[in-house]
Amino acid sequence: MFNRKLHLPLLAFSVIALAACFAWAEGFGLGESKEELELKYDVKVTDHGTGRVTIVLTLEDEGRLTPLTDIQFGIPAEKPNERGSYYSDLSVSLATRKEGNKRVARVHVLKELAERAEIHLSTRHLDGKAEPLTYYFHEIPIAKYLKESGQSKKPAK
Amino acid sequence: MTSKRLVPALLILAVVLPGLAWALGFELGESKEELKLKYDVSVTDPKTGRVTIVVKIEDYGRLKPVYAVDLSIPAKESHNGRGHYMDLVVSMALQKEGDKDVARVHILRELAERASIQLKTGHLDGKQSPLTWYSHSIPIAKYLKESDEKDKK
Repeated sequence: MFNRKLHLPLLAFSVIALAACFAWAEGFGLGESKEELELKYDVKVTDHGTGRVTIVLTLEDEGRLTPLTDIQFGIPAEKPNERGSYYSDLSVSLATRKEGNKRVARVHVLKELAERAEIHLSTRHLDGKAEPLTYYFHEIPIAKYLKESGQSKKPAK
Repeated sequence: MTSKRLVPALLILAVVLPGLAWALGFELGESKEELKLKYDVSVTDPKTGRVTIVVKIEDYGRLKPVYAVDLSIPAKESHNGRGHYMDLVVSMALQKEGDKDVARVHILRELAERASIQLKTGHLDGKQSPLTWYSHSIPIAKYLKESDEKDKK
């Protein structure tokens, strides 16, 4: 008798728990600037003149995104797909190395891919507050740093 | 007089040169089993021209400790017949999933066909050689084929 009464609530609870397991976290790109987010990082691009570049991200302070959950290197497709959105040509989480009090990540990549590349600093916390199934990211487009590196270099023959 | 100047100069060179020297890397010819490695690679092809590669490493075997798990893609063609430039080299972050280290990459299929995953270490059988690193290479092409064959069935 007691067991029968519990059947429905148990079933409902199981469905909710299972649904929560399968739910995807939603990601939101932050519109605030690097300074507003109190981030301290530096991006350097070295153009080897071979049609390839090396991108080095040096992260000193995670600011309002502390603690970061992921540093993602992504390259969206050149053209939108049939649904109008963009597939990802490359998406990979970057390993970092400790160098002093900084974290450093490096990518060596074809320059034509680097022109579309972005680094995402992702967190589940904003200002120390976590929201379930939500993450935020700060986007660092690489194109700007490519220009700074001096795009005049011609590929080596 | 000359030897008095030569000795300090040689000493300075002896101190400075190792600092400037590059570490030499060797790709290991031994198999996964011989290196006592335990890992699993799976490829998912959602038919969008991109694939997702997942590497699950259970045991680094004789390479312990591994300092980097790199994704490398050499250029299609050699550079003046003298070797290949690299189209992509990146150290992948590892996530702990149970007792395994897991790395994931989503990538254009045409790039994945040339890709390999390198397990890099400064130690072999627990011994460290100065300025030397070793790597075990996992070519992805084999796993792409396996994934295609599974899809056909």
